[in-house]
Amino acid sequence: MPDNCNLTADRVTKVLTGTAGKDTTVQINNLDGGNALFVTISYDGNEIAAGKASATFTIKAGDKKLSYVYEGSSAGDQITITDPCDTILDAFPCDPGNFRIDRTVVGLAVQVTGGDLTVKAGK
Amino acid sequence: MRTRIAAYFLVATAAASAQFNPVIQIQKARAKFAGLKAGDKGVSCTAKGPVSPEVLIYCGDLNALFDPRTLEVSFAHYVVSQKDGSGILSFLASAAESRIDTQNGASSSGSGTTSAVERSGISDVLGVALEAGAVTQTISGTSLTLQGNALSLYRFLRSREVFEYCPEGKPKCRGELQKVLNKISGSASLGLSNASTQTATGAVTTSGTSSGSTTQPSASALIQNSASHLTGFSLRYQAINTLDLRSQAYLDAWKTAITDPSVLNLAQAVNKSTAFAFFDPVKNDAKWFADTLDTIQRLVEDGKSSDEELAAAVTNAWRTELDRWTKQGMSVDTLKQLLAASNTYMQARDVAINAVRQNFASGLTFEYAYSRPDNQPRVSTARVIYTLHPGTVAADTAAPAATSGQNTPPASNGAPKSSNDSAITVNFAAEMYDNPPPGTSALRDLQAALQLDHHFGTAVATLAGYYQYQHSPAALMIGQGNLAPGTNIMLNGTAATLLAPKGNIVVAQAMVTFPLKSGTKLPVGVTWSNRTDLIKGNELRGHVGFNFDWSSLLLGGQAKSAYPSQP
Repeated sequence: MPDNCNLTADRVTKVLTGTAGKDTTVQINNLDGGNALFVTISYDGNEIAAGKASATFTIKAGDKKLSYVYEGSSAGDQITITDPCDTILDAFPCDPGNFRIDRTVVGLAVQVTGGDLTVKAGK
Repeated sequence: MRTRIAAYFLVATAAASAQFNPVIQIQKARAKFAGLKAGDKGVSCTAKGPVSPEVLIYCGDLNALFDPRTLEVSFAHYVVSQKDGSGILSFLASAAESRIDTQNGASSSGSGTTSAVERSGISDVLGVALEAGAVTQTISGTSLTLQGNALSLYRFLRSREVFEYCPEGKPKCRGELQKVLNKISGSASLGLSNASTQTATGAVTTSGTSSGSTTQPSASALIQNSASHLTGFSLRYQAINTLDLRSQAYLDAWKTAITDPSVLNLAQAVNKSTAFAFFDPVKNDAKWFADTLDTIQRLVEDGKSSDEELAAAVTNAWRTELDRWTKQGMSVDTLKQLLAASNTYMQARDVAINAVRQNFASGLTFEYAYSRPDNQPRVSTARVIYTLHPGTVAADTAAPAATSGQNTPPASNGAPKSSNDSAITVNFAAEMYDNPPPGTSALRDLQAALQLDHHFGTAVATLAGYYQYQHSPAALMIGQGNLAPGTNIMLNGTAATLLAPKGNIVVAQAMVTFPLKSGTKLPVGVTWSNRTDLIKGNELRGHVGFNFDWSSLLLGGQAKSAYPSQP
């Protein structure tokens, strides 16, 4: 199993959830045979990639914004956002008029208490 | 020496209304639902538990139909129009979509042209070319050619914004009239350097003497033509215009254009916006998401709701929450700033992409050209122009639903990818005298031409061949007692029309165009012809030019304006 598969997605709200401190990679794909790339993508206000089809970042504790400007080579192409394990985190049709997307990444803090491993949302 | 200046004037677009019309999203959601397996069709997107990847993608496409964070420009546009009574100005702009090879210079038979072969494309908006030289003409000239697009002119005359953002895949974006007008363009060429003399005969009156005025019944005088005068015009109709959006060459060029720093910088400016920080999908907006997703899924799947009803359901869902979102921090001013930055980015992006598409399109164009060369009879030319990019014949210009519909496998599953960076352009033309001089007939000549363009790295090599069957001799209309302009032909005392020796013309042209910085190009080439229209004998001419694409200058200016705090 590839590394950096540390996000899960809520298919209703598109909120992404992962464990704080873990590296995670997001990949943009065009399922219709064309191009797709992140023109620029930022996490928590910091650019993590530009002009690339994938980006890697370390999940921070709490609710953080993942914002990106994407482009696909043809309007209407099926775009997906996946992790290296091919888990679908997001999907939408390519729309040149709506090229910026905001998502929320919830980083769950890992706390060790009395030998028990507890994961909870860190704020 | 050849100089060409291509200018693209970008004007921001005012959206005609705040109508929300997510055609792409609706088409995609309907197509995805239709393509689901029977067992997946009853699955609710809001239900818990694992689902198939196809359902995940379908639910994502449904979400993209209403989620403000996926439709940020559309949502901001809607909110600003609802909250700001003054309406929307200049937020959704783009250079009009074009996928063409443009012919910016004068017609190949015109005075001052340097083109042996014409490309099939038409100017998107307004093009300007300054050229000096000649191909088949004996006399070299300098011409300024202005090109315009009929749709842009139509919108301008109706006091509407010249550009309307109309991305590919939005079939309802333009009406039928506008679709036709967008295929029509025209040009006018002004002769700049062919100042010549003509003889005018008439009465001459002198005055101011003490004895009053005197009149000389008849006299002749040489007058000089204006240095700038109309030497011709043309009308073009682009009948076919195709582009293989899946060809590897196009995709590679597309990626290079999108990641150009001038585009990238503007995208980064957009991405810095915090306009959607008010949104809280984790807590406050979670229920709204679930309710709206249920509603939209039901409307898509009931098979009865129209696109308009779907769009209305989305805007209703937005409208009911505007007050709450405002309390959460939604700011109209911040949304306006996002729209302004988005507008700038879209203009730059579309100019960059259009430039790429111009280099990869195949197209068929019909042209009528009217020429009034100095001292020669007026000529009308009918021309057919076809540009082909090998491997792009089966062009993919279908709407999104056609490429990702229920029974169509994704192109990634075996769709052919062509790879080419060559173009072949063919011209056929017939020239006719408007008023055939004595000794000629209406049909002056027939022409055929072929041009090959191929990229070698960033340089473009061009080979062109031209053949003209001269049915009637070329004629020279000049005043009596003069030398034919540009020649050593002495006319007899009463000659008004000189019929040049008849003969077919063959032209060969080789050229290499080197790209320089900031959109400038340096073409270097040579043209050989067995004769020119008036004089027998081989002619060898060199061409060294300088082309400047004005759009690069515009992009540079936009990049600076997006970063006012930066030097």
